[in-house]
Amino acid sequence: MNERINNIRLFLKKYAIPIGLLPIFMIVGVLFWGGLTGAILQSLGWFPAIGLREITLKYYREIFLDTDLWSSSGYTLYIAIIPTILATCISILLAIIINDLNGNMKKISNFIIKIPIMIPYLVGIYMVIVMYGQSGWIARIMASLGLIKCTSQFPEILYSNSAIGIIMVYLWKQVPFMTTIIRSNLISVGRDYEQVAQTLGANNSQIFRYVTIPLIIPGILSSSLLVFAFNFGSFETPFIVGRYYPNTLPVEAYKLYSNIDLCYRPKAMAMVILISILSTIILYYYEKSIEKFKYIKK
Amino acid sequence: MDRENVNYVVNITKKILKKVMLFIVFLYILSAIIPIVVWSFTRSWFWPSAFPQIWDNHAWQYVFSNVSKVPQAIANTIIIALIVMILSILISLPSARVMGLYKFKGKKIVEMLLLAPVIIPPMAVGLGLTTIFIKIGLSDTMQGVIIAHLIPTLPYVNRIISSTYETFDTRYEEQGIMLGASSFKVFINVTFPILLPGLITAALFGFVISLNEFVMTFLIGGGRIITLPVLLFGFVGGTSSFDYPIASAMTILLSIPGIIFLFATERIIKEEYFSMGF
Repeated sequence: MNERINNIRLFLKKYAIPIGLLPIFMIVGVLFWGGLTGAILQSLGWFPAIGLREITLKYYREIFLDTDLWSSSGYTLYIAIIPTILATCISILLAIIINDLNGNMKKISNFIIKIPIMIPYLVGIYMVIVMYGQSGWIARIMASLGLIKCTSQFPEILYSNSAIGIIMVYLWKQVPFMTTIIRSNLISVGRDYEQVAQTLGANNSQIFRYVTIPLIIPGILSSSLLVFAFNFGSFETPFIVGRYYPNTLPVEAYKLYSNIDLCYRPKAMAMVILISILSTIILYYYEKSIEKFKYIKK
Repeated sequence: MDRENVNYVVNITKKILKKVMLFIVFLYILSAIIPIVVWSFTRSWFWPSAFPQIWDNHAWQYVFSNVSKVPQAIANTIIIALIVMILSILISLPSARVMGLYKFKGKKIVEMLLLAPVIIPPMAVGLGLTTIFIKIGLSDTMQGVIIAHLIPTLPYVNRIISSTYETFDTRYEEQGIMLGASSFKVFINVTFPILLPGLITAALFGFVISLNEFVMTFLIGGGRIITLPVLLFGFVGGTSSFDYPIASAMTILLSIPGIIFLFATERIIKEEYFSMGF
């Protein structure tokens, strides 16, 4: 009997790790990394379906020489960075405010703040169009009050260079997301440190600056990196409410990809690989910030 | 005395400012519900009036008729999400155990490889995947879409279950084996009940992520596999003149599953689950 248990234990100890990891690696490994490898090969000019078999860096050079790539990159970075900074600042305040609430107010706030997390981006996009577009509800209310006369007098937030429409969609979705993460960090960190600081005579702003913020900074960092990476690579929001041309990198990549002429595909793939490289750098820093959080928890 | 008064005023102002900020944020989150619901019951609504001239429910009739593809899209969306949910749980159970209970060389790298799909944009993976799926005959099929949905779902599901395993004591299982139960029986009667809260959370997340997934369905489904997000994209993402009443009705339909999810899980899901980077 004992021997049997020991055998099972030995077997599990010896092979558990590879056996356990096999199924998920079949999916994530083969599909995800396979998909990415497929894109890399095509970006290097390996595309037998249309007779391309020569490995070359030509397509990377082409997209780099293309001046629109820079404009597109600038736009992509802009709509990735600005909402991330705004969402981070708003979310920190909001998380602390909600955490300080009591009773029913806290319950209701907790519920409302999570609604956008559960709803697809497309709904947020449509909300911004219907509410804040040039013929949206606010414009209509202003017009019926006689404040504006025609649609063009209402500020142009959609399809514009300023990308305010995109930023509004992102904030609608990401402030709740970051607030929830930061708040759950606040909960798991607890109140003990703040109380100790208070006993030692620190005032509220000192507690906030020297106790609360350092404790939740890893959570803030990792969630804002997630948001940044998402914004950088997202497709449907800039595609629908972004400016027409040049739009963000993923949208331009999709446009190249969906061209009837298959010769554009390697260029599309090169663009997509460029986006992935930047995202990988973000992933690296994301893991690092998570690591810090584990250290602080101990 | 003066100083006390100043402090009092400052505190009151702070309190009011906090409430105002909360109010503005909630107003922003929820306010668009009004025009969307109004639009879904509109026959004609000409600029510049603040409310429609003629109300009716033609959008809802259209949405629930067979012409609109909405009933089929709802069915597709739910079937795909359910299968993705079950598959992602089954695939994650063994790997989550390994990631939650074992320490081994290269664990960091495995963690990063498994997390990569959250960071690297679906557009990058999706475009590469379409070519492969065309070759092996999975593009434009339900199976293909379901498999593609596993890519964004698995990282979350795996992470939630593995964090449940982190607090799991394997001695319970050993006792079961010691008492003569088979390992399958031990799993059903010992491990499963302990993991259940984490599993429910993971299942619900898997369901919602698949429900909301757009890019993968769009690229792999190739317009043949219609889900609610794909259908709404067709209405909103097209040209500038789209049908507001119908798009509004579909937006409402698309929001309902997530809100039901939130109601259902309010008590089950612990706040801490969100700290894993969602």
